[in-house]
Amino acid sequence: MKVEKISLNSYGNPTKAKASGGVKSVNNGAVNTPNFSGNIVQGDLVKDIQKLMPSTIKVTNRLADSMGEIQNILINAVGTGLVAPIFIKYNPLSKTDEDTRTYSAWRQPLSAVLAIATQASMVAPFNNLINWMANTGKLPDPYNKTNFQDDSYIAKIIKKTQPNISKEQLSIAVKKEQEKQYNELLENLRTKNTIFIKQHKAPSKQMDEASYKNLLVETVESMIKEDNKKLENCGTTKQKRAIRSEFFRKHNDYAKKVLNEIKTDTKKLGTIDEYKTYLSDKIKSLKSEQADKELIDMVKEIKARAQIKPHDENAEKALIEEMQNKISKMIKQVNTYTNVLSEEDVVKHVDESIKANKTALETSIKTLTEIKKDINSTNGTTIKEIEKKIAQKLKENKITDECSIKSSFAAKVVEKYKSNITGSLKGYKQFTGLVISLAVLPVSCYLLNWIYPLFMDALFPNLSNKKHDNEASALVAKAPKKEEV
Amino acid sequence: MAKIYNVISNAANKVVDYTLVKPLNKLSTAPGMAHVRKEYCNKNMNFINGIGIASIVLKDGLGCYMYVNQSLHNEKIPDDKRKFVAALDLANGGLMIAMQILMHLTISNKIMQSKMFNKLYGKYFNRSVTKGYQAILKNQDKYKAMTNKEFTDAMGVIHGKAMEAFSNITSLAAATIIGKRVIVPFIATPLADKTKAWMCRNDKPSEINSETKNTYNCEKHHKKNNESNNQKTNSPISKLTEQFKQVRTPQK
Repeated sequence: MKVEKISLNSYGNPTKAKASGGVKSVNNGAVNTPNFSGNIVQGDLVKDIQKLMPSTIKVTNRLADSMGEIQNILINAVGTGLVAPIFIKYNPLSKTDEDTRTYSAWRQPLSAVLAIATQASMVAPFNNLINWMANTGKLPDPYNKTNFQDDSYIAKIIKKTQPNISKEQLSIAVKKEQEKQYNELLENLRTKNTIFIKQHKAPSKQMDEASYKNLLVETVESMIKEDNKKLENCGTTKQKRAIRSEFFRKHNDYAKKVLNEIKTDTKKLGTIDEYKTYLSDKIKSLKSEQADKELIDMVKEIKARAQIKPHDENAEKALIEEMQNKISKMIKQVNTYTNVLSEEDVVKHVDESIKANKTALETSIKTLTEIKKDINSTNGTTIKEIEKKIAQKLKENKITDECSIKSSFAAKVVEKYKSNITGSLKGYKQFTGLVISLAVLPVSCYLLNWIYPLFMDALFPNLSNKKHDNEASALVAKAPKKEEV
Repeated sequence: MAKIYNVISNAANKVVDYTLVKPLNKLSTAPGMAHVRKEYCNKNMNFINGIGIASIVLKDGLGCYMYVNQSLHNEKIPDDKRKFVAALDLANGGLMIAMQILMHLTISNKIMQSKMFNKLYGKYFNRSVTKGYQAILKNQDKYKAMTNKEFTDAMGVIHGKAMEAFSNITSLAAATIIGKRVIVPFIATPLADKTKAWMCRNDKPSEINSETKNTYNCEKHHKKNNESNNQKTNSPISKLTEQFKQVRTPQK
């Protein structure tokens, strides 16, 4: 497929952000608050966190990106080819003779192979074509990916202009281009209150007003939903904290003794593996001492950090430091409850600690509801105004990190915009895949009916009534010749 | 040479444009696509998984019709096995569709999904582990200024993705592997015997293909028959019956 150079240009987009520092200057011009950084590209952060996670998560998340008709076909084929034959052949409930069951069972793996060969092989190139169309701006706006093109697409274009570029340089150039695209989006949102959508072989156009307004409302709604969920969880957190605090009050000296012991012992340890072994032994000894479940859970919480496999020395150091910090925090928490004498005092303490978070979340929801109203009003509002309003609220109230208004609103809009397009493309690919596989199905069926008897004749002549070649030639030799007749 | 290459390349691009790009563009705005888009954007997992299952169910329905039709008219399949193969297809098809819908409705249930996810993947997302990841990242120059919120948002994205894939895979696996390939054959094979009987209700007794391998041991059977006949004739009861028959038979 022809990769077009034009796609990396700005399509006459008047705003030009520098690859680095572009956002900073916008930030200074827009809202002067440290919380509205948007400096870290979420995609990069997600990738870097995933690098630290176990391979199960990496594989699952890769699957999430590629889930679609091909995966449907593959999972279906696994069932058809590997599981179905066993249950057809060894079915104790069937009264049909074994030969016929074996004959039928063999059709399943053949059918699976044909499904993959015909359906998946047809859907895959169409998926690639749709991706290419989305990256070049050949698809309608809801599927247009020109503002955050795929790594592979950008790499192809860079390779075309610089064929001798090294692998490392290429990956840096791709990242830089993606950062540039992200910064452009942020800048346009903050300064021009719009999104410019690049078109194929045409100047870029502004997102239509209704779609833009809808995007802002959807972003605010998702933020409200997020906060509401956290507000609901406040109840569970309160319950958990109350149980732990009560334990601290009742067994204050014992908890202090165990935690201080852990603190002193772990200071001598140098590696994560040593931490892991030490904490496992500690849990075992606490269990044998029949210590309180709450205390065992606390040690488990420290140990959970040691489950991460650090990829270098710095990461290991950081992890050890984090574990030490956690132990210190726990000791501090136990000390808080040294002078708390009654159960009522504990409840009061917990209520106070939860209250701040609850109030902050409620303020966040209230602010967002007002913003939603502003967006829907006849005059409308701009991203700049929204961020100004949020900054004001952050100044006036004590807003905790849990609240969604702590995030950069423009960055949230960009994430929603990206997720909408990615979601639309996924749905579109699934729909196209369905149409294609349905269209190819008659071919699969025809092929199966044609190949199946031939396959059985060739490999299982006894089952298919066809004599083996040797037997057939022996019969021909035995048969009376024409002259003899 | 370059000119010829350009002409061919332009012509090929035009062909791709008219045969693939334009139809795909039209399909992207087909009726119903707006609804599909909306559900995918809102990450409505019930709908997304449902579309996956609907795709398989539709293909199974169409495939079932075609397989039954073709199996019945496929002269290459031996006569005595043809109706069973077709009956198995029909029983399979009907049951598969029903079972897949049922499995999807059970497995895709939100409570069921979150319970299974937490059991298998919860340990990777608990607060203690995520704090460890955050500490490692904070130690890197690139993320020194990273806020708590930025980190939790990114973790939310990873969690959401993992949940999405998990829900999709479990729903599909439950429907297509467990429902369709484990439960259905157990019911379908005996059901196929009945379906075959129903399909053959108006048939003349079918002749078994002369080339079908005969697993029936004629000699053994013949010998057994003779033995039982001898036993019958030698037994006192049979002698008595014989005598009785002779007495009762009117003499000519």
